[in-house]
Amino acid sequence: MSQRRIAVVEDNPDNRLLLQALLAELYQIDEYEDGASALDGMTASPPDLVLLDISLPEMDGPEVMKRMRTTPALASLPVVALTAHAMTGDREKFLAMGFDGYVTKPILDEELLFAAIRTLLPPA
Amino acid sequence: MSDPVLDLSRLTRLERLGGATLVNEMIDTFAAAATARRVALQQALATGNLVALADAAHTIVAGAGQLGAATLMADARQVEEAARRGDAAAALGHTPTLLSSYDTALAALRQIREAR
Repeated sequence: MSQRRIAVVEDNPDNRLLLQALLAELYQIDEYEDGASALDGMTASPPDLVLLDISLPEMDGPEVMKRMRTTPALASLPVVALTAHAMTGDREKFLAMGFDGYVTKPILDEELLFAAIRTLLPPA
Repeated sequence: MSDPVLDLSRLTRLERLGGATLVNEMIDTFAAAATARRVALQQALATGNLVALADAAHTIVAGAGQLGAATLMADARQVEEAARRGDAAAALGHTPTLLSSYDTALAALRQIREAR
């Protein structure tokens, strides 16, 4: 059985390292450091789910998300927002933007991340 | 009780997750990014650029939290939030504290790294 693929779009190497450590045993991970390369890479080879940092340089997470929704190959992919902004109302704000889930950084409780992924990507 | 500079239970948890290799890699990655992040903070402080200051502080939050550097994470959050709401006095005023806690956390992490 082939592994499901998750795209991690995150500019901070420390965050990518932790996500890789958390997820690599269960999923195939495609890493992208910025929005433009993520859009190119995911369009060429769409993953099953996207973990998308909100505060990317140049093209931020919401803009990447907007462009994904107008790209046929990516339009229906589940996207989880990753953010270190943990302000009241953020969750609702990101869900209203079209994100399918929301996980705050630092990831101190790995189970919350796994739960967000499992909800959108049930085990085959 | 957790150490005010470094919550060692966080490092223990990371070690359980990915062994000593993961802890070492995470410390090395965090330390490698520190010079550029400190320069970004200092430049933003010198020029009073609140957007740059918020962005620079933001890059520290998650990595610090993941490594258990709770004081550093709190200081970075405080600077970022003040800068984003346009409170120059609070943001710029707290940046020296952030730079100091950054150095303290890095020194503690390096000590742990060397002892491993």
